[in-house]
Amino acid sequence: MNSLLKINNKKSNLDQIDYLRKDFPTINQEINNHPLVYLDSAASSQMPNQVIEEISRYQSQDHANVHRGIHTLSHRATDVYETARQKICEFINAKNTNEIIFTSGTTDSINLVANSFCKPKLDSSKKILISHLEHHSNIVPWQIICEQTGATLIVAPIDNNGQIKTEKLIKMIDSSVVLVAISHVSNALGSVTSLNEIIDAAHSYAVPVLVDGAQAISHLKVDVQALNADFYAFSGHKMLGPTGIGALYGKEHILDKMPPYQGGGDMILEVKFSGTVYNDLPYKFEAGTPNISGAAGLGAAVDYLNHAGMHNIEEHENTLLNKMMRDLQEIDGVKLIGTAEDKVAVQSFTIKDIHSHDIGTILDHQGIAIRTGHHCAMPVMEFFDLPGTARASLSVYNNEEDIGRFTSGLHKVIEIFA
Amino acid sequence: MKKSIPENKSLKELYRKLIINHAKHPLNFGKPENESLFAEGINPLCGDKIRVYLNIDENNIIDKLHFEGTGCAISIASASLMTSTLTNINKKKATQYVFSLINNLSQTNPSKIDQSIINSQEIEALEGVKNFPSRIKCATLSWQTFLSALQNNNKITTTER
Repeated sequence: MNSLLKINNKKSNLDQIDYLRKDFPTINQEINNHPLVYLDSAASSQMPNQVIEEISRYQSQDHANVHRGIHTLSHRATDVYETARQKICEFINAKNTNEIIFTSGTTDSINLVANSFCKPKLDSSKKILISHLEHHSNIVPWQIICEQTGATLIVAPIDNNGQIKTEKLIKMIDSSVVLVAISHVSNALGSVTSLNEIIDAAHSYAVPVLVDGAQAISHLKVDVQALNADFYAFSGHKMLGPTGIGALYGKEHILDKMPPYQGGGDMILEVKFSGTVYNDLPYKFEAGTPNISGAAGLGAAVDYLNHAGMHNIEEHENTLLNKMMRDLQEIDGVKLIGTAEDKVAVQSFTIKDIHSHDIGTILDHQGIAIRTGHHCAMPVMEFFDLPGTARASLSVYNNEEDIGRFTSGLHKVIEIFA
Repeated sequence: MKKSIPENKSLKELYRKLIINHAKHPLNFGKPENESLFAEGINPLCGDKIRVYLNIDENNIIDKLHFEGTGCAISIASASLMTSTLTNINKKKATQYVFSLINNLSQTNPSKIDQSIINSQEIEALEGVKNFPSRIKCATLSWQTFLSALQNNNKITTTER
């Protein structure tokens, strides 16, 4: 019996969260002769059996193309796909499923908004506003369309704790800004952005806001209506789901006015050489056969997160993060990078005179997986004047023992370089 | 509390004392005043950045070889060892040696680095990377950049080509 069923019978609590670890086959293995300690979930989280089995079940029982066939399998595939959309809709509290576009992930979602929503509105008098904290996927798509249109990309500053300077960002908003695009949680530092203030300020100039939710979605309860975000982008593989699937939430009245991003099958109602009638939302933005098994897996991941309870997850991860920060600070030579007051699930750090890659290799040899380098956020590294950092990130399956193994692993690193 | 973890043989092979010493106190580090040839190498996967400066005298001997940059212990130690190994070596011989060394390090087979071209026992310390496929490029970056500097190639050399 899997632990998800057990949770159904009892109210979730932190002890049970720890118990969920058994559901993750990847976590339960030895790496380099040590039990794996996986602290790289910010790069990609692991999948529970419930997700793996749902993908396998779909592939072995229900697979056909969606929205096309008259036959039973096509109905089943369509049902799996649309049920997943419904689950995501409820998970982030969107108004309806027309607001949920399946994409290949956060990067694809952001590129969709850049090309379909922003680009037609841009010229040399217009601006896109981002922050210094962004992941490359929330920088480069904007650079590309600014280059193509002559528009300007403006960048709000961050402070020494790695937090966006909210007031400064707000002062940069005016009616020449076509979109504000900011992360909910920084991938490199874990800082949580003050979205409510920023979104209110942007809306007072009628400027819409895109939120890059890749790092927030599995750590915080996301409610797109409460946030009043115009777009919210996220990936399946950072929320216990598979790679190659993600979603873009967009307010229906905005999505409705946007032209299609890519042309192909499924996004049309009628094709004639004299002109084509595009399909309705959300299909208008889903050209070609989609990643159906990915959607099935993502739907199962949403179920899993719901059963564990987002508030329980948040509490569990915060307890671990606080312990990790305390323990790291006790090690000589360790410096925490990213010390924002409001922070989730991620800690970047450096060790004096030891490069992050050497830390990564020596930890890996003890079965401990962390991320090292620039974390696809080179401007953040430049701000702190570092070539890179080591980053340990948490998920629902981590426990206190992981933190203990991690910190004693770091003592070993220091010993080798002594 | 310190918790002791058993030493691992291949990890010890990778981080030999010699490597750690070169990483901490690299030789010929810094931009010289009158270098004639230059190239920059980057490893886009990790952000390591090495600049190699060299000078060749009228007899085709590499009479000056310096580097600067940022990188892990393996890449800095490897660059340091490179400068000490190739200084005062004939350009043609050095090129031949570098190709042979990159070729050797890039293979995970246990064959030894060819010492018949240049005899440098210290270079053997780099062989530890062979057990760490993800770190081989750290060791080869500076040597590739050296080849590029010989061409006075102002283009950036990357490990991903």
